[in-house]
Parts: sequence; structure tokens; C-alpha cells
Amino acid sequence: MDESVGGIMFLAIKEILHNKTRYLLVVFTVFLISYLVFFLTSLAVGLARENRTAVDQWQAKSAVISSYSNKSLTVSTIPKEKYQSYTDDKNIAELGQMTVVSQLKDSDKKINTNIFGVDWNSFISPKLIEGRLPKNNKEVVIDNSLENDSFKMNSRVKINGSSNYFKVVGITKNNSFFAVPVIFTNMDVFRTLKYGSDKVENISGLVVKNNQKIKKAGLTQISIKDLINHIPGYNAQVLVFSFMIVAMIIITFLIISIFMYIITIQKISLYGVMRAQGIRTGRIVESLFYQIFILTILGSVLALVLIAATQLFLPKTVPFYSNWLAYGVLTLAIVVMALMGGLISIRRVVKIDPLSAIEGE
Amino acid sequence: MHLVEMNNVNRQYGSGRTLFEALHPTDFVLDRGEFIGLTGPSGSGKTTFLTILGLLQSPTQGQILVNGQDVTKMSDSEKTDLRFNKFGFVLQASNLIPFLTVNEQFKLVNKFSHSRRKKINPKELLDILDLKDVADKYPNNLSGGERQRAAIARALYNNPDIILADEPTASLDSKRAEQVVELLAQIAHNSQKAVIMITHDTRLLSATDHVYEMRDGYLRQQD
Ligand SMILES: Nc1ncnc2c1ncn2[C@@H]1O[C@H](COP(=O)(O)OP(=O)(O)OP(=O)(O)O)[C@@H](O)[C@H]1O
Ligand SMILES: [Mg+2]
Repeated sequence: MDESVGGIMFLAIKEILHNKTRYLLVVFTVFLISYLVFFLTSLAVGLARENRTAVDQWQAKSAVISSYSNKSLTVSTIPKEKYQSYTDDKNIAELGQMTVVSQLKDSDKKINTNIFGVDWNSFISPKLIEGRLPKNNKEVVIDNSLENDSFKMNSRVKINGSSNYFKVVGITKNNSFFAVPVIFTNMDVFRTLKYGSDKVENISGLVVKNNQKIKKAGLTQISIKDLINHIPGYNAQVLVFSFMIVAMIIITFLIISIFMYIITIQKISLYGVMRAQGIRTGRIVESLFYQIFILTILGSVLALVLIAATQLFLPKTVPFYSNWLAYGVLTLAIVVMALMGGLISIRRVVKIDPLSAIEGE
Repeated sequence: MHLVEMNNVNRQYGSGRTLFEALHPTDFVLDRGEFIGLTGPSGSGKTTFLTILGLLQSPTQGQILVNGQDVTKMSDSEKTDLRFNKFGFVLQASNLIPFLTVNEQFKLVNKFSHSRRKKINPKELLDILDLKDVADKYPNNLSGGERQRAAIARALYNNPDIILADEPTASLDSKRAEQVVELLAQIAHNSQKAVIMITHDTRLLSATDHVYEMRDGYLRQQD
């Protein structure tokens, strides 16, 4: 038994080596497709992450927002009388969210940012990688992705054209919401920016860390997953990327089946010789699949190498996130699709007449 | 028991108005130790006869027994295995695998062979057929004669019971042709094999035990 496996490998590899250009073309095609699949996946994951990293930081179970907001945090407002009974609970944190335009002092460049108004003692207070938490209404914490726009420690920032400047005293990381970096402020600053005064004690929503259920007229509790899915554009984006990736994998199937079919047709008299010599059809089919396996593995491994290199050289601003588990699964999908592409050639191989050997080259 | 026995075997091509009987109903037996020569004009049905005997194609009607086993009742893969183990072909067109060197053609046989059957020593084979210098070449880098000899070596290597050779000496010079025929005769006589050789060269027929002639699909023994 072992010996025939050796024979199949021998046949498959010797043939590939003897027809290098032909098979290199197959490897190259698989390589290109795999690379595109991996690249798209990395972008998809990267972009998806940028939509939600700030939410992921909470490590919470659910959020409570106003019922009219249609599950969208960005349009939710909760007045004080609706949330004040929860303020003492350590597992529930108040959050203020708004979208703003920020501008560095002495710069004309306007940058879209989020404001997250938080209580610095709550569990949604940002984890700092540099600096300290703000001590007054003139200090803020920024996400480090803003460093790409020259924001840094001690920068002075104007928000929504405010007359006074805020000073950056702390930096956090992995905090962006619908692909826009977050600036953390205290609740007073948030309320002044959003409602014009810190006397309007509204918040955008409550973040709930544990499994407790909250029922109150006018409030809706939604899971964090639901909250993310209702980030504007998030679902459409994920869908478009998934569609492209699936399409690419189906293209692998088509291309490999066409390639292998053409190669098989070109080899019919050769297969005739093998059949005449007494090599079973099953062996020939196994050798064909072994070839497809080698060629696709080779192509996708090369693509993985290039992806690793891409990751090193890509500018930081590109939302590229490599996920090796996903690459593994995708490689498997590509190999499976390629092997399925070989199925179409089987019909041809099975029909091969050993007599075709004497019809000559 | 005969090595091969054909009873009332025929082969037709086409159908209706284009129906054409390339081999008329034929009885034939082949025994161990026999070296048979087969001649006849081009298109008379020699190759058709040989490929039916070698299980490369099925007859339209009739029965073929190999070692007493009815081949016409066998499945395709059973016939393939029988071909691998019992038959060696030297075909008109090259029957070498293009991406394997002469040596590797033998290696492939080793890899697919299950039986403990003794192989012919490949060195000896290459020596007799004067292929030592080209053992590591690919078929398309061999001359016509070298390719023919390599095909003979490949057919003999598995030590088959029946060797079927379709004009094995076609592209050889007369001295080499005689050597090859001599070798086939030795194999038939010394190791109790059966050899059938198609040839147009009547001088080579003197080395054979029996000569058959094919004419318009009819097989006749000449002596
Ligand atoms: N697949 C086929 N379909 C139709 N006719 C065929 C087929 N194979 C062979 N024939 C015909 O059968 C006849 C016998 O052919 P065959 O190849 O057996 O001749 P041959 O004696 O070997 O000739 P040669 O000496 O030229 O090799 C020929 O007339 C040929 O045209
Ligand atoms: Mg012929």
C-alpha cells in the first residue's frame, strides 16, 4: 500500500518538475488569488476592528440606550431621571458619545473624531499607554491613532471650533468607533460640547458589564453585538467584504478546474500509455489530486509569505489587521476548492482508453 | 492449459453502412516458450489482433482466456492489473512516459508493483540493449532507435509472461534488429515466456518458432 503512495507522489512530482513553466503558471495564479483573498480579509478585519475597538475595550455584556434611537448609540439621549437610579452600580457606566471635528492649535487640518464622555473612575475609563488621566475640564485623553495626524502629549486641541483649547494629558490605544478615533473627556466637557451646558445632565447610554437586566420605559437594552451591528455602515461593509472573499474562493475553484481540465486533455495520450502499462485509473486520479494539492499549497504559502511582508511595509494608516487563524481557514478553503476543481477532470481520466497509447504522440 | 486462448474472437469498427470487420472470427492459442512472428500488409488487422490479445481493447464477440481465466468477464481494473503483471508491450508509437528518464521508467514499475515477482536486473537489461549511456535521458532526448530499445527494456523489466511487440525493430539498423530479435527468442525459450512480434521484415522471421500471416482480417498460420 505504502509503495503505491510513493508511486503516486513520484509520478506527480516528476511531472511537475518536467513541465515547470506550465505548473508554475498554476502556482502563480493560485498565489495571486490567495494573496488577494488574504489582503481583502486583512482589510476587512482591520476596518471592522476600527469600527468597534472602543466598544471591545469595555468588555461589557450589553448597553442601554433610548428606545427611539433604533439601536444606534449615536442618536441616543437619556435624560437624568431615566438613568439616575443606576449611577451607584459599579457594573453600570454612563457614556456620552458625539461626533466632533478636532483641530490642532496652529493647524488648518480638521479631523473627524469621537468624543466619549466618561467618569474617570468607571470601568469604561480608557487604559493609558502614556500620561495620566485628566484632572479638570481643560484636559483630555486621545487615541494613539491620532498621532498619525501629529497629535501628541501636551498638544493643544480645538474641538468643534471651541474658543478655548484642550490639552492632551494621556494617550490610549485601540480606541476607535465607526473607524474614527476617540477623544476621552469627562462628562462635563461632553455635556458642554453636545448640549451647550454642563447643567443638562443627559448621557448617550449606559454600558452594562454583567448580565443584569434593565427594564425602564423609554430605555432599550441591547447586546454589545447588536450595538456593533448598528454602527452606521458596519454591516454593509462586512457584507461587501465577505461577498468579495467568497467570490475569490469560488474563482479559485473555477480557475483550477479549467487549468486542470486543459492539462488533463493535453495528457490523454500519456494517460493512455500509463493505462496500457497497467497503471490503474485510480492511481492516475490520485496523482492528479496530489498535484493540485502540491500546487495550491505552494501558491498559498507564497501568498502567506508576501502577506507577512506586506504587513511590515504597509503604512500605519491602512487598516490592515493580520489574523493568522483566518488565513489558515482561508488556505484550507482554497485548497478544498482547488481539489473540487479537479473533480471535473476525473470524468475525462476515467474515460481514457488504454488503446489511445498506440495512437501515438 | 494454454497461456492465452482466443475462441471465435472478432472485432468490428463502425456501424450500419460503415460497419467494417477489422478482425474476422479467429481462434488462436499461445503457449509458454513460444516465439511467434506475425506479418501481413499494412491495414490488415495485425495491431488490432495484438491489442485485443493484450487486453488493450475488447473484442466485439468471442472469448479470451488468460491462464484459463475468462478475461471478457473481468472488470476494467482487473484487466488493468492483469496487464501490469502479465503483459509487456512494445508498441508502434513510443510507450514511454515522457517525464521519466529511462531509469525512472523502471523505478515507476517498482513503485507500483505489489507482487514479489523477480524483476530483471536493470543493469543487465540496459547492457544488452546498449542503453547504458542514455539511462538518465528523457524519452524526447533519445534517438528513434534508442527510444525503441528503451521501450523494449521497459516491457521486459517487469518480467512479464507475455511480450507483445508491434514492429519493435522498425527504427533499428539491421544488426541491432537481429540482436533484439535474438533477445526476444532467448526470453521466450529460456525463461518460458511467450512472445508475439509483428514485423514486415521477413528476414527476422527465421528466429521465430511459428509465423502467422494476417490478410484482410483473417489470421492464418504459415508453417
Ligand atoms: N479505431 C478504429 N476505428 C475504425 N477503424 C479502425 C480503427 N483502428 C483500426 N481500424 C482499421 O482496422 C484496420 C486494421 O488496422 P490495424 O491497425 O490493425 O492494421 P495493421 O495490420 O496493424 O497495419 P500496419 O501494418 O499499418 O500497422 C485498418 O483498416 C484500420 O483502418
Ligand atoms: Mg499496426
